[in-house]
Amino acid sequence: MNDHDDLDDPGLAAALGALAPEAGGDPYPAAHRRFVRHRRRRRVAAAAAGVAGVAAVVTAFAVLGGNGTDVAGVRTVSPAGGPSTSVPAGPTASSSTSTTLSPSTTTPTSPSPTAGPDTPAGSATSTTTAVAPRDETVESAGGTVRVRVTPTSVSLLGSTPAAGYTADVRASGPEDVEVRFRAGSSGGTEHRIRLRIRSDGTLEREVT
Amino acid sequence: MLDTVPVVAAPRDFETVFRTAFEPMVRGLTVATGSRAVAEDCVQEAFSRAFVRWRRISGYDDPVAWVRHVAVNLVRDHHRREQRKRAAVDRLGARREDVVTPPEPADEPADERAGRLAELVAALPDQQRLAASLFYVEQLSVRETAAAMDLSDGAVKYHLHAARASLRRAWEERA
Repeated sequence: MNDHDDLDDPGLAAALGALAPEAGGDPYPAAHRRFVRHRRRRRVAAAAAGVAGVAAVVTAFAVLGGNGTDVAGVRTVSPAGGPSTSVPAGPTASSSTSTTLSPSTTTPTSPSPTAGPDTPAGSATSTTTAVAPRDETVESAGGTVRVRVTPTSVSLLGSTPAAGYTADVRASGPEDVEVRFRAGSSGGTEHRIRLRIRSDGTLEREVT
Repeated sequence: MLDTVPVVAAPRDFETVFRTAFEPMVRGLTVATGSRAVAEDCVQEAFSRAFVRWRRISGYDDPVAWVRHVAVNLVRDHHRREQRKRAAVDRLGARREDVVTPPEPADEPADERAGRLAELVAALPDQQRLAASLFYVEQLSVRETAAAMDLSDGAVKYHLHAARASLRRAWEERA
């Protein structure tokens, strides 16, 4: 081989080789045990890392996914939680038909025509009627707001400011939702989205 | 029509590769480290890393080269650790004769002549000693030695020339 032409030195090779005589015996069985141990440790480490990763993700969701938490400028409100689903007793609720009641609505008033046959007469009526809420997005120059609307309530799902704006949530439901988007620091442009449920169950929008 | 060229396939079975390559690799690195125990440990560790990745490594052109490369890096790590240890002891002001270090080479050669050669090899710079060990003891080519050491062919030749010249000069002076 050309590589060896000017480097070959059999005498030196033999002398160096004599410094490391060949060992007898079969090294494989002992080495194999070490390999298996190594592989087991590696698998355990990988499994532990996986479990730790899952735990970290779950913890992160638990911490960041709570009610009314601000994440990266977006305020989220749990659609079914909190006070946003309670309906105040009054002529609006009592006069409305079954289609105007939100889920888990409690009306401590006189028996309504929508009460089921199992309701004992003369007692406070608790009526739960399945009315599918709808989600709406309202846009302004300063950003967008997502809300969940039922015939009797409106609740904020999230707000996304446009580039250069910051969101300021003034009200998140259930009677009204108001979000102001401001550009820059104080004194800049301000856009406002205000949403309210009218007595007839329709959504009133005020976008400035 | 094309001539049929018999191709000798490189062994791909882990156990076969181990049995073929382990002893030459250990002998080469024994000269490089001065200790068969250290050399065996480095080579076994390299093979154990190959073992858990064997499905991928067995597809390489030369799986043994991968194992040798890892083993050489482990030997270098060992040298660095030893140097740091010595440097730390020196910084603490301890006298060298008070420091308990394994003899180098740890395995005392049988005869005096071999012992003198082992001392000369141990006195070589790390790169020269490693290149000479792989080339003269494990009988690798310059290219294989370069691949194992992460050096160019030219750099390996330089180290081999320098190592051989140093050994010859020291050997003749002692003689």
